[in-house]
Amino acid sequence: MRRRFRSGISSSSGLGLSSFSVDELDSIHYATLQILQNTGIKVMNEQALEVYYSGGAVVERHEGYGIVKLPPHLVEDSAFFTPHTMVYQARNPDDDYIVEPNRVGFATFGGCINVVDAYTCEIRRATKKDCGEIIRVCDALDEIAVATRAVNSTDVMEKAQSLHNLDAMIRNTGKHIVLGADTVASLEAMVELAAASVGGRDVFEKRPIFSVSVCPISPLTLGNHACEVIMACARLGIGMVILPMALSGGTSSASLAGTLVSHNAEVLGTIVLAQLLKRGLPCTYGSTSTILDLRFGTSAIGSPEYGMINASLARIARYYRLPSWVGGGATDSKEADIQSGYEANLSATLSALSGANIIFGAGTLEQGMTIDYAKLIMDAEMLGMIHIARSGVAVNDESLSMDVIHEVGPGGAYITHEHSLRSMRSQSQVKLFDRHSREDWKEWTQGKSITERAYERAIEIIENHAPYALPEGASEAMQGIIDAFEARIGKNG
Amino acid sequence: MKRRLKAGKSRNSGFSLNLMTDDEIHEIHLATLQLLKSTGVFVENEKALEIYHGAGCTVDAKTKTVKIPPHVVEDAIYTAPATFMAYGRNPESDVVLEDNRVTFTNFGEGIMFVDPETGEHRDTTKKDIEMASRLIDYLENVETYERAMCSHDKPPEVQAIHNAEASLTNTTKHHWLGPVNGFQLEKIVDICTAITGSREKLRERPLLSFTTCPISPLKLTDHHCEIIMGAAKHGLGVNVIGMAMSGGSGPVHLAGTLVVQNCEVLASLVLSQLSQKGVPFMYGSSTCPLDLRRATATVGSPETGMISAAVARLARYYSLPCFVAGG
Repeated sequence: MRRRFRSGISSSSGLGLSSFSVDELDSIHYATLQILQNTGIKVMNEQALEVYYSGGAVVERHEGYGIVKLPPHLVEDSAFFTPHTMVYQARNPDDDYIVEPNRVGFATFGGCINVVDAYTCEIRRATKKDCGEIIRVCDALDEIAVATRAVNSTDVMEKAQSLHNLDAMIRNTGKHIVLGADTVASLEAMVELAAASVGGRDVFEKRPIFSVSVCPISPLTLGNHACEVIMACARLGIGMVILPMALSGGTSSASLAGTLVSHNAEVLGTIVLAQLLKRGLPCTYGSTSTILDLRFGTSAIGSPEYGMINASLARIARYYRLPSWVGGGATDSKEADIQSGYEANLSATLSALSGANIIFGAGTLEQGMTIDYAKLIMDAEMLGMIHIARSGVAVNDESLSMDVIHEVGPGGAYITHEHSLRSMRSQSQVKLFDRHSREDWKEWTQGKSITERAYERAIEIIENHAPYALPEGASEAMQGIIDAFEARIGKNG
Repeated sequence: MKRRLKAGKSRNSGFSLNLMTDDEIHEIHLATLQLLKSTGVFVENEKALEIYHGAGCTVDAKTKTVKIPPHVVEDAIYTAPATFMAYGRNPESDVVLEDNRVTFTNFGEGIMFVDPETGEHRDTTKKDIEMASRLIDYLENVETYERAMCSHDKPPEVQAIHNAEASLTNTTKHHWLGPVNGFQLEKIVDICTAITGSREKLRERPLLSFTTCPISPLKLTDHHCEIIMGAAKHGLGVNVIGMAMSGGSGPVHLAGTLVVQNCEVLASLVLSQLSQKGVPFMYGSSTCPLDLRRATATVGSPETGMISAAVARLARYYSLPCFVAGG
């Protein structure tokens, strides 16, 4: 039978989340502009106040800070000047990650302080070694798009922590890196370190292999440290992920829409500073916002609201055509258990279907305090499932399989049809998860739980995975930079 | 500050899924109509064959193949109610099922049970059903009850009747029961009549609906037809659950499986509406892929969620209430 092409019918490229109407997004946008113009943001750095002022903002001076009130056109201009498409450059060019609206990828949670040891399964403070090993596992996992500083190196000189974090990460991954910078001095040393790892400052300037996360303080405050880092990023040409953590009911309105507005004001207010400093500086619209559980006094990142807020912010970022970096895949559970699976899946799925560019949360437990290897490995498999689901149900002549259905007819068998064999690879597959019959399952697992098998897989990666090699001499040069920095910091106290 | 009301802006009432475009849904519908007309379905029941024939379908008595013209299908879609009232034994348990209203129910039917006291993995019994249905009666977010398990400790010929008794006495929520065949369906109707007091009262507020499954691909068995016709006779709802397994009893491609299943469910809908116009009908689905490496039904796969979501979308296109797998 001849089935000619149908002329231009609309088709969907996969599953997506319908969250707000355009009218609703407009309302959020106008509310944000009004807050920025009438309420303003508190800025705790003199030089930054000058920048805002000369850009056209109204600045009200107070003791030790200023209130910056932004005219709407300045906010809209700044959002417009921010690149709408960019590449998170990676040390290994194969790992370059394109960020633009609707491209979805995943990362681990950032800045945890504890780790569940893969060998002993005990929880303890994370060290520089852990920082490196977790990143090595991330390097091996296809589902992880970029490397976030999952844990802090708590065993090194405190003032050199971010430099050590970067060192541990560069040595263990070829992927783009996102982390915080302790001070401007450490950010400068971090640039030196990264430059050494790619063969020189000129190479780094063309391909900056890391971005810096900066955190406004909710509600509506840009602290001195954040301002300093933003100004340094602009000077050094380093991209930023702007990452407010509004806690609905604590540091923002108890209504979710109100939280979205103040969060949005914090991101856009920060973007204004960045674009006034350097037009076109890469800025990513970030979020680690959630609700404050008013009964337990904890930031509930396993709550449904976590997924709702972050999926909404990903949608708002798309409204401005800004790259987005939002939460999803985290849990409040203390173990990689069934609660952690349920919670992680809900928020990761919501953020993914909302088209967030990076969804961070893999591997984390306990309100983001702890990284667990088993959860990281299991999450990776879940993220693969989300990617499959996101691709949706393709509807076309090939997939409708009309001729096959007719040939097989009522009561026939598909499993023996040549078409099934040919299309077999389009089915989802499991690695760690189980799809066996009960009898086969017993034999396959040998009585081991999925968590045990996940720890085993993590250890296998830690011990055998070789990350993208550093150029010759880079390792020594990097160590030299750290030694010199520590000596300088040590001398200055 | 004065904030005057904004004139009529469009608003979203919540999160939902962008799944298939209207054009794509229409493609699936057209493919279904073509297959129902040209390939047809196998119908095992003599009376059902007569009903189809009487409505203008082409019936091959030798092969028992029924080919349904598009207008007959469209007509049945049109006459089936868009709102399904899932009445409870107690009016407080009533649930409205229509369009985008979302509710949850338990899985059915489990044949093995993890004993909560011993941890043993064993066959299910009538007592287990009593426990499970009482538990479901308590759970706020489970709005209706589907037969959770099977009374393996009763003779196979009457298990469905025992299943019904066990749960009807332990939860007031609306029941989705599989009667297996026409004989047990009649007995279950008798039990329900004893509960409500009369046939009329049962018809007025049916506290149960019958579930039944076509056999994929494209087969309506004798019992399946009996249940559809039996439910129609008593004015009770029928929930036809398609179970085409992609890669096994349906094409590997999900769109193809949707088409196969849609043919089976719509052919069943035709029988239901030809038996009694306007009788309540649920578009059901419990489809998942067959893992072609392990030969197991993968209800945990992402595809299960994708197909279920697509079925729900398809049912909305038909303005039919739906019942799909998930969880």
